[in-house]
Amino acid sequence: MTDPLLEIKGLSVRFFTYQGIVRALEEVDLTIGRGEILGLVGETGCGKSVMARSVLRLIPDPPGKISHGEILFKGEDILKLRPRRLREIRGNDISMIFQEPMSSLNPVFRVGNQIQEVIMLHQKVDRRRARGQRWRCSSRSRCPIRSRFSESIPTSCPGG
Amino acid sequence: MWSRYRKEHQWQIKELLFTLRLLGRNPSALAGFLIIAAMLFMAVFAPVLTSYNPVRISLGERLTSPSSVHPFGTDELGRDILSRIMYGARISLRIGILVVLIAGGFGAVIGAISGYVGKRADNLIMRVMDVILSFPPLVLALALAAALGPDLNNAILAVAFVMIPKFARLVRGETLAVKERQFIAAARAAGAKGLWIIRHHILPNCLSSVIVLATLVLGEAILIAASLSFIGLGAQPPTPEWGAMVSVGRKFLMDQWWYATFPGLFILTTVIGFNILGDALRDILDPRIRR
Repeated sequence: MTDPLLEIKGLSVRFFTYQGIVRALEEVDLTIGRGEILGLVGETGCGKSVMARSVLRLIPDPPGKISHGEILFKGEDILKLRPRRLREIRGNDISMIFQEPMSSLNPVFRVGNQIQEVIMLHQKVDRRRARGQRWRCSSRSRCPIRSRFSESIPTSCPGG
Repeated sequence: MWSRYRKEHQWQIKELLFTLRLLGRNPSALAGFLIIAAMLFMAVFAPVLTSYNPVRISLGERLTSPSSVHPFGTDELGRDILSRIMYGARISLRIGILVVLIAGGFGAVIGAISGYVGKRADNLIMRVMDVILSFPPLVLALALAAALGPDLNNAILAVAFVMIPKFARLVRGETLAVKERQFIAAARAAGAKGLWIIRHHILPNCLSSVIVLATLVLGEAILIAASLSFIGLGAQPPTPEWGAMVSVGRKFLMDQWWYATFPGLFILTTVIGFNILGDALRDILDPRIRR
């Protein structure tokens, strides 16, 4: 087998709260190969989201802390990356879709512009080009290019 | 060129027209808007609206009461008060708007950085703001204006400096609330850095409350600048500034009531106009409670 795409070794995440230390993750090991799809199933509060967030280093600190373990993405340890490199990976190589689409979008901007924002963050393109790319993307995914949805603000869209 | 622009921005244009329609439907917004528009109109067209020179002295007509020749009377040097008010609108409005732009711009950025970065930077910045706030605004503005030298522009800078903490505190508070929202985490997950998040996500979300505060500060700024003019640190004597006119006119209030009353009424009207406009704008611009 070739190098795995994502490899998590002995990952432990703790939350230091006033009521004591919460051990959210304890010694998690996981490997995802190239082209592989992995679904993670578990009951509420077992740490699925905490694990996903720690892959992008999005655990709020304080109170959370990744106490030990390593997360290797294409051989690079995400936990030791410089902020600059980390930002390059976020949203470009590794993306995350949050559970609540309603609260994951900024209520003061149009949905389409927020899709465009990700393009502008990762490619050195101006607003006009980014919009062109966004339209190409949406036609590839068979979304109407200028649907009412993408030109409206999040609160006026149906949820979900 | 224009048709292409219109096509590309058709949604923005629609949105703008919708905003204007909301503005027209809201009676208090309309009232505030009309007051401000009238003041701006007066400031711009002062030379057309009055034939008097606001700084020409004619001692023969000093302190005449309101009449058909001088609707608001004349002051102790025989200058027509109505024309001085009209020209004064230029100065007072400029003071208010510039102060709000400077203080609001710096204050919002400082507050957002403070709230977003948190920890020690937050502590440091907010303690500095507390120091500024601990002075009575007028006294601090006075000291600054005196240090910078008596000049209208220096007075504007001094007043703006005093107003920065108001904006910084407001925006910091809003930032603390906004940064916990999910879309900030989503933006970080998409690889945005701190400054990008502040500029594109935090500041736009604070804008509606900043606008409201700006209208309140605008009135206060006009008053403080007026006080500075009174002791000779703001607008210099022949310049017709409303606050300075009230201050000088105070001495004549017992016998010549019109001198201080009319400029004072204009300050009052302008401040009220900005306040109700700002209040209504908050309701109209906030996308969460729009329509």
